[in-house]
Amino acid sequence: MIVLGIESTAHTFGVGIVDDSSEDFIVADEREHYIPKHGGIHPREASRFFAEKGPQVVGRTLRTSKFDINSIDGVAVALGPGLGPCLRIGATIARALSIYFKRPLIPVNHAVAHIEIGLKLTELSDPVIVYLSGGNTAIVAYVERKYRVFGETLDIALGNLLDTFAREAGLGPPYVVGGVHVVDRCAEGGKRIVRELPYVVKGQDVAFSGLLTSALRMYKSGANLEDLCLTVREIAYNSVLEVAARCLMHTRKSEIMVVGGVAASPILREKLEQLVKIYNARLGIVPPTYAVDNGVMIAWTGVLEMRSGVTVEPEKAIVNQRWRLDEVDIVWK
Amino acid sequence: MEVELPESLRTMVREKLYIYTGYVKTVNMLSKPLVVSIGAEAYILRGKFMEIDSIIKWRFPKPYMPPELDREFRSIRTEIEAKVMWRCLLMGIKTPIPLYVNTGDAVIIMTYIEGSTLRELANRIRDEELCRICREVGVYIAKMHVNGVSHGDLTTSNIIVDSKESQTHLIDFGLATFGKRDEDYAIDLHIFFRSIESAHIDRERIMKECFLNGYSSITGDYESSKMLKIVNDIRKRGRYVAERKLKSAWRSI
Repeated sequence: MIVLGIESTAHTFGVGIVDDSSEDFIVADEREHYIPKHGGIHPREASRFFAEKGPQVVGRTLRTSKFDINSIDGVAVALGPGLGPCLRIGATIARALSIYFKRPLIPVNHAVAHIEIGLKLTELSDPVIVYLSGGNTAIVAYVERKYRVFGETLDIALGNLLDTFAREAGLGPPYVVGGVHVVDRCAEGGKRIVRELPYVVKGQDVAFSGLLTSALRMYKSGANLEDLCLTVREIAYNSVLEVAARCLMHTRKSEIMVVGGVAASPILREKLEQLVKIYNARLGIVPPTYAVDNGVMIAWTGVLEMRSGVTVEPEKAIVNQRWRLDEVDIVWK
Repeated sequence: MEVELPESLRTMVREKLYIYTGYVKTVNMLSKPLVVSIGAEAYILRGKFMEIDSIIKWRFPKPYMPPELDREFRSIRTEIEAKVMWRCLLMGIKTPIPLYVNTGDAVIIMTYIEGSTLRELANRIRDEELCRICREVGVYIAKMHVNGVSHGDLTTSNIIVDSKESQTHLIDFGLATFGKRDEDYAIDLHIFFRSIESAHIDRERIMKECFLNGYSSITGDYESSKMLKIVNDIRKRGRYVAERKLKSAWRSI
């Protein structure tokens, strides 16, 4: 089965083609990134960029795959969650392809796709999933036909915390240099833990906005930036680790998988390796190329869904900015 | 499972205690403790402390944390946990009784409660019994809130009904805090409700109703409905909750 997947939830317009009959299942993977001149992603600007680049990326993907559009069995698209204007570009292109070439349209949840591609690449069977990206921080576990959110952030995401802190403290953008986040790099020079910063874990949930506000306030009042970087990073990572450990104990699973853009962090990897040792668990980290947003993960999830008969009529394929991960029935497991 | 115990506990295992009650009785300070379970932040061991059946909670060092931060965390949490337990006992809430607290090594020894957790019981006991337990939990939590304490991790696994007198006990105050913030109080309700929804969905109505009944019997209806409003707000803070109002009108295509 060959499926073409389109991803356009935030700043990446990605198109991928996956062939489940081949050993090397990824046939094509093309991406375009919207990079804002300053500040964060502006949804309108990003969507304009997508509208301009989108059709080219689709064409390029088909050319590199050497597949004819007629040999493709289905078109998968990320219908949410994400930024509305961006989602609509991907959805419009996918609906057009589906209607014009008479191919079934497959609705994919972006977060589920991150998990499914992770499972495929790490070869873990039933892990506790630590989903860390610019927009999401969640600890997820598969229980009874759903990926259930065990704990999540009650305000901003981990990636968002690090990026915003870096931006306000003049460390970025770019936020990731040579595979290491600028806050991690700045923390290398830190010597002292700043006592005044808050560590917030509420049961199974975390919250970072208070940490961000206090850290920035202390930065402005002249505290040592390297010490602040170290403290922010340690508090942020450790609160996530604490919830992950709690989930591992609670669900009695024996694997941990990290997905999302922050999965690339070598510091986080090191901490997780120490954590799994305590609990005798296995650790799987999704390779950075596929841990970030891409079209391949949408196509792969499309394959899984299409095998179980999950498709949608193009006229009903409406984007949903707030499509929670735990609303999706996992019928293919 | 073998665990390398901290120094204070290892010393205690070697020590003897001589009690004079007309004659001299020799007892072990601490019989060799056995690991019952390992949690997210602590080992839970069981042993006899001065002949009393006890639970030993040891917050073990976390290799992935900077040692300084780790030590501080463990000692502060241990101290707060012990203080909250004492405060609760003073209010007439049944919890394990702390017998020995060592903030340096992050150890608390407390009395063992023989019984089953509400998580184990919820799906197999009769409605009246379930209601009685949940109502009592509601009363306990309201008393704590009125006295400025929140539990922080009120799941059905942290409620024990003892097998002798069927009394309800609260355990695990590891995330408890002192403070008069409605937000922290509401988190207790939120976590309790969520744990009901995730594990005992069939008994959701009776458990929630009885809990709230007990809760408002202490705080009054005004306070409890105020809490429910905050709980609702907290729920909407999760990612992508559709109920939350969108800033712009929903454009579907």
